[in-house]
Amino acid sequence: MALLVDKHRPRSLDALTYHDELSERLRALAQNGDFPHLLVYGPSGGGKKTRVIATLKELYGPGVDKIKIDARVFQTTSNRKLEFNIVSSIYHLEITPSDVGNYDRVVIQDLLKEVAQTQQVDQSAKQKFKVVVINEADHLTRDAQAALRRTMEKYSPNMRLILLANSTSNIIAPIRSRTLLVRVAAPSEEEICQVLESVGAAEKLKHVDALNKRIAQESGRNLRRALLMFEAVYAQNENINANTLIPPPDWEALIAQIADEIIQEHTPAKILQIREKMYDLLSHCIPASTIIKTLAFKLVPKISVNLKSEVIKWSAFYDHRIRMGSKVIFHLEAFVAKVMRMLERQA
Amino acid sequence: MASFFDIRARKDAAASAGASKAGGKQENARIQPWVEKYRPKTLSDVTAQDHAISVLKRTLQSSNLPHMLFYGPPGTGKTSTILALAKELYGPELFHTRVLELNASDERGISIVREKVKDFARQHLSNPPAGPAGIEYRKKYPVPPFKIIILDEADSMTQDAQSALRRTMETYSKITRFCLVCNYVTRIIDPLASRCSKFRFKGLDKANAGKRLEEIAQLEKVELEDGAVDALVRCSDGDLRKAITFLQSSARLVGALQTAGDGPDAMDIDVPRKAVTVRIVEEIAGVVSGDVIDRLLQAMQSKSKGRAFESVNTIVEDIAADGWSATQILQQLYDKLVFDETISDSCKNLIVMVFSESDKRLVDGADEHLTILDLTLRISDILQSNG
Amino acid sequence: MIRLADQKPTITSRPIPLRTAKRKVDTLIREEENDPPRASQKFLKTRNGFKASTPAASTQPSAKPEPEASRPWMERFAPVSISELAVHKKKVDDVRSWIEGVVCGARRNQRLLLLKGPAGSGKTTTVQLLARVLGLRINEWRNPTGTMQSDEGFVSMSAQFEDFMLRSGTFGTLDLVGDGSLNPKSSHSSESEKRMILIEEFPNTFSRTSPALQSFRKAVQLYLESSAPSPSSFSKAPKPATPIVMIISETLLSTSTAAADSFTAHRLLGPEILGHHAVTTIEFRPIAPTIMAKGLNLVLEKEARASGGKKKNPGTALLKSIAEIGDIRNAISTLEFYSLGKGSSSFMPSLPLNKDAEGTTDVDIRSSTLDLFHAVGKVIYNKRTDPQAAQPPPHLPHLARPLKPPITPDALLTELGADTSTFVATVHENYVPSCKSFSAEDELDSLCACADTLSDADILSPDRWSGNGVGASAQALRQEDLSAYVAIAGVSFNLPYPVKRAEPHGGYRKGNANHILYPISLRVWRRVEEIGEMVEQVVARMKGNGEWGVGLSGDAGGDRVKPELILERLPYLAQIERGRQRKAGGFPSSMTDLSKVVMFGRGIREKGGDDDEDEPNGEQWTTDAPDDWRKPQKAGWVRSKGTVGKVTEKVDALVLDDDDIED
Repeated sequence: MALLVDKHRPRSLDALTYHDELSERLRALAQNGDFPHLLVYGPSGGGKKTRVIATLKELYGPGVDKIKIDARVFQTTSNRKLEFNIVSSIYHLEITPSDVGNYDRVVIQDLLKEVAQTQQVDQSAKQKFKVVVINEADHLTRDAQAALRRTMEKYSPNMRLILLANSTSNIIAPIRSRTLLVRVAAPSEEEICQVLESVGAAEKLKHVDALNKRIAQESGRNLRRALLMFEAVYAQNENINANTLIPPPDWEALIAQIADEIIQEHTPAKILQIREKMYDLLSHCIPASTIIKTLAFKLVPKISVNLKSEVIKWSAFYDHRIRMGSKVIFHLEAFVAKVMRMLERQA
Repeated sequence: MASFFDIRARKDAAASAGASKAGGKQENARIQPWVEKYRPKTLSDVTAQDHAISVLKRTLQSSNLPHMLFYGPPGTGKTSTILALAKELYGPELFHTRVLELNASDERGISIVREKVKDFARQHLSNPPAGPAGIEYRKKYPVPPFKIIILDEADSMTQDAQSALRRTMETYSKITRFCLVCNYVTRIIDPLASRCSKFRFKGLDKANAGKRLEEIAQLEKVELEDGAVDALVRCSDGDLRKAITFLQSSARLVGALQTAGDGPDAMDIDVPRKAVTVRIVEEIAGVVSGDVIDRLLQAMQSKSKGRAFESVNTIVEDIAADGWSATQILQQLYDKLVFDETISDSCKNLIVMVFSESDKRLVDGADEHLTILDLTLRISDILQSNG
Repeated sequence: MIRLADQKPTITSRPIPLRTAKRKVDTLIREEENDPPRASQKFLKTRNGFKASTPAASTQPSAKPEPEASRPWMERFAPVSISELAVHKKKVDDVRSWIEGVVCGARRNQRLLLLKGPAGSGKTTTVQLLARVLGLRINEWRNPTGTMQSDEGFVSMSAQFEDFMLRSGTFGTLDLVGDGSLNPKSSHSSESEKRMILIEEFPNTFSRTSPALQSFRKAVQLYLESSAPSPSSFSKAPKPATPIVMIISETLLSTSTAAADSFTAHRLLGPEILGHHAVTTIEFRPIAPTIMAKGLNLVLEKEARASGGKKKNPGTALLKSIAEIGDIRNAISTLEFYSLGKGSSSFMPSLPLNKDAEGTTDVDIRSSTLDLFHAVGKVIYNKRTDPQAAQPPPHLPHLARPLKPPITPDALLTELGADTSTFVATVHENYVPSCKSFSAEDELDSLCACADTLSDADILSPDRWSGNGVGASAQALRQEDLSAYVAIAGVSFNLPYPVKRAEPHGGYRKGNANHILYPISLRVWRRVEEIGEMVEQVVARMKGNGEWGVGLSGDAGGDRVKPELILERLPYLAQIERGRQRKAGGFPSSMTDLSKVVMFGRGIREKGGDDDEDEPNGEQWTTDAPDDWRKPQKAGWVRSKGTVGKVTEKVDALVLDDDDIED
């Protein structure tokens, strides 16, 4: 059975419950016939993808719901074969070029060219152009982005791009200036509560207002997370009340534990224990930058005011190093050591 | 996937492409970027680059032209200038046969560039038609006996490619002139730069850019709310191309909202349009609205350290959740703080250091939330200890 | 999880082969039938291309030294019986009981035995000798591009298996000679001879999606499915079938950059096969010095017998350093090298065994690993020269000069056998206990400073550009040196002097603080890869069950594990699942793949007891060690039993004692 987060995903612009003005604008663009390239950005779990899919539906009608997944093989200049998955309907296709890492340029060039050089198959289609949705556009290499820019210019009669990104910071300026920027802010806590309430009602779950509020708060304005938390709470407990425990994901619990340990004991032996836990996290594919960020925010409420900005400072410092370096554990550990020393000084 | 590319589809497409050619023209005109549409036609049309223009105008009189290197920030009219110059030199009929525009960042390999240059240089020099028409043409346009090759974005060429280009320039120097266009003159290798006469294009000032934008808005019949032009100029940092693009996007958005109500057929010029507002411009440019920045600044300047942390933390969290781009926040904070007269210079010194560090981190892809939080907290510290 | 079945043999003992003349199965088998010398002759034919014209008259190899003596020692003096085998007895017993069990039907639901371990740890030799003892005929699979011509001794793998391989077309043709039977089962019943399939050559594992690898996996899987009954149908008592033994020489040392080239069982077979109920894994370790020493002695004795001379005595010092190698093949070659020269009974007299002489031996008798550990020891023990250097008067303490370390980073780097990235990682793994100081503050200062330097060193390392193909340039090499330089200088000046390694109580490393461990950080990628594939499996399964909004969730697949998936969707999904199960009345069922992916820390918290079970009596075979020999530690990767999410494979195979570093 499907998760609530999938089951109750709005399928059309009408069904979207927040950012009404934005929905209206998207609808207007879709109906106008002069649909520009879009760059949709905003934090994770804010509903970018949902909105884009709804917009596509507005553009083409229900045909976009019939999707299939194909694997295409591309050949790089060094004759390496890349397998690449494409989700498509007859009107649009969706790709995640950053999947193939540094070869994303090849995929972008070949695939988009191919798409652009063929016209809409369905002669009765509402639009003459096809839409290509590009996920994680901010993870594209510069090369790929440059290629994208050319493609946009060359093939715009037959094709529109919708780029999805978490932030515009890593998108090169030429692309930003060639696309219409659409910011999708995360829903506010009240908006999340509303969604939870309506989902709860649809599922005939007991409505506990205070609990919903707590979930909204804990989710950090991430709707997807809020829905998952909501479902997890209801799946795990028979009696739901305002004080029902909202269990964090295991990785977060472990990081919280590390934070506690850092505060309690400042010794080399502890460092070694923490190192082991870090390895545990890393080996479970938890990104190092997530670890350091979560750790910093778990530490901050527990330490004295003077140290808070210090902790943030070092976490930002080592976060940068994690991006730049190769052995993330060095930097994580240096951060932990730094914090321990600060705490020890103060004690 | 297959359905996209099957043969029948292609045939259909080819057929329909032929059929829709006539109708497509109009369509294209609407889609055509205003940047192209309003590109200056003559040197005199180029906005606010008086120095470069006056020098170049003189070359119109003489029959010779040096190799040229145009550099300056984006959107200041470099490409427009060389195109306008070429038009004035050759006139509309010879323009296409005498001018080659190459985008260095597109055709990356030097071999491709060289090949194209070679092919182009080898072609026969096209000449105005013989007879009285030709004489007339010559009167209007100087038509000097060489071709022009424009290398756009030359600074994205590799060093090797640039060195190779040096040779190519020499080989064909008799019949070709090169015009390199780039943002950073420092990225052009010296031997190449020394072969060219350099022209620096400076950023556009507010008045000139604003004037141009208003002209375009008028021609396109776009209503601009008070302050919208200012907002356009502000958001585009003197990049006129960016400003025009923003203007077009805003107009499109406003127009779309407009017509959505009336149905697509009602799209007529006579219908009074909604005006482009400052907010729309800012949203399109991805600029953080002023009050967010102000609130953040206020929180940063709060006196007690504990309160500063809490309030800054909350605001930054909201900024992150609202999806604002960190580089944008950084830029806007920078503009506010550096031009704030109430902050001492020594203090600014420290603050700018913090900015540069954070900017580097963002460029390297560090976590935006953490970086901005760190930035604001450190600045807050500096302000407190010095203020 | 690599660990699978219930009847896992212990994982601790330490194998020691005496030789590993790989792919000489037929020879060995034949040796049984004929008298040894002739067998050797016959062997020679295939090996060296000597034709039958070679006079086969000699019965004494020593009497006819040319061809015989030209063979390397490790082939000439290979173990001929289990007792001579330099593998730890327990390990041999494990393998033996498995094979016996399968062939005789006691373990009838087992089909595939995976022997993995570093090169030269005696895997192949063990299997070959056991096969002989148990009277099994070995069918060995070879990649057809192999250099050796097929002989009648080589038979293809079971026909079904082979058939499949053929159809997949990735292996080309098989060297199918002799054995005409097409169906392994029928042939099995008709032939009285029991057989065993040995696979030592594998397809290229460079890319996970490589078709060769995929079809290889498929073939293996098909074999497992078709021949192995599920555990539930245990009562049906299927006929004992032909077991497969795979021998995988895993790449032991790898840096993060070389991760892609490393060869592991996991890469080869993938989680599905490794997790199959009919598969058992036994891990071999590098050979312990004690056992190695015995083995080397045996070789020397044999050599003496063969050459008719006196037993050569290389001297304890040489033997000791050779025995440390851990790779028996390598060790014997080294031994052979040193016995060359005058051909007399003595070893090269001028043998530069003195490590103090700046370690410049003629031959690198130590493998790079050992150099690595010594080098690291030099850094983390932070020795300083005598305080003879001129010091400022006592009233100017801030001008006091730190004492010079006896070795400069430059010198250390020159001597370093391993690559610098591994070196720095090893320093990192081991610096913490050295920070022990009198006051907690000092301790933390030194710790923090060291951690900082290491962080600096990593930033300076060129690894981060390796994706862009700049990696191999001279500049990158130089940069690598700089990085290591920073690490060495930084750590040694920030450590207290003198170093007192502290017992890291409560830490995950048990035992002696003086042991230098191999860095886990270089191994994490392996685990990451495993979990990543597990995630894929889980997602694929759920998509199959329709539990997943296909397409909408935006995961069009790909090699990378999406953070959204791992951070949000899967953990909560696991919670939901747990909740549902509890509500359904059952108690949460056994670990599913899903919980393996999201659960942490069980390995850490449930530590303690587990290890002792897993590592029975690590000392038993070290009692006879010469006193000053390095004590072999509980070695190798310990896969904790039943605990999931445990990363910390302990890799302290090559530990060294305090004394050892000082010399």
